[in-house]
Amino acid sequence: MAILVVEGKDMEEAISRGLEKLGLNRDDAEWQVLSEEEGKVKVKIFRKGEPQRIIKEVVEGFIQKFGAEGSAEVIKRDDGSFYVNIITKDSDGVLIGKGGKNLEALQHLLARMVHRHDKSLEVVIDVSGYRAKKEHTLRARALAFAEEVKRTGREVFFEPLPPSLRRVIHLALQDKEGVRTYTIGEGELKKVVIAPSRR
Amino acid sequence: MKELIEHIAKALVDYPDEVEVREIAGERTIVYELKVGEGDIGKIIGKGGKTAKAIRTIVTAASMKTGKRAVLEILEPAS
Repeated sequence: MAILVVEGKDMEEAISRGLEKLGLNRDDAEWQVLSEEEGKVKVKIFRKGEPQRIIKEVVEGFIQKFGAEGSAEVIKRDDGSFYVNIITKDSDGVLIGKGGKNLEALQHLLARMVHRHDKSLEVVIDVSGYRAKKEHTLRARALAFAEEVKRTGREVFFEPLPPSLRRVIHLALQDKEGVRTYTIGEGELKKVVIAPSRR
Repeated sequence: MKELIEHIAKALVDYPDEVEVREIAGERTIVYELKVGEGDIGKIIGKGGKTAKAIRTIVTAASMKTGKRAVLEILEPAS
């Protein structure tokens, strides 16, 4: 039994109901309050590490059907999302694809497959740390470009990037003084622009 | 490959039992026809065709291993 949503008139009742349904002790479970109203509390409850198990199962099931030999490491990040690093014996290159094209397809499909189990699970798919490295480089470029924009007062355009990578740039510069970021273009041609802040 | 397509499709739809994949082998190309239950087609195609495109990308990637070009046809329900 995977992830349950239970209701109760208060937290205590909801949690004990959930524990009973799952057949778990308090120490073995994790929960998260979804909504809290007068006399009605909704709690999501699951065995500790259950999200990681579900994600690992979905991803490794896929890798196997893909005809690759390997495994997935799942790490919970501070923002609540799960970082999934796939490592295979001989298929890392195929799974990444040219310019990370296949990895983006994997990201889209595996995220949807995980959502079928639980809508709240956010996954970031990587292969052999490719994305992590790319994100690191993008962050460094964003910071360097920001300095250039501040110095010259001119906008700088990034190459078209998928949503997950555009997000990296927006986040890297969201608290940076003197510059702002926005997106232009449509569909797969969306680009991030770094511009001087409006006065 | 047939199993991979079935696996992906079944993991995306509401009615996995209604997923069918037919393999039509040619000399250099294999065509895979994917059929899903009524009402599930949207889950396979996705917003702006994004999911269908991702499945095709993965099918192409997987076909590199087999050496034969794979083409995925998603059948629209006849209604």
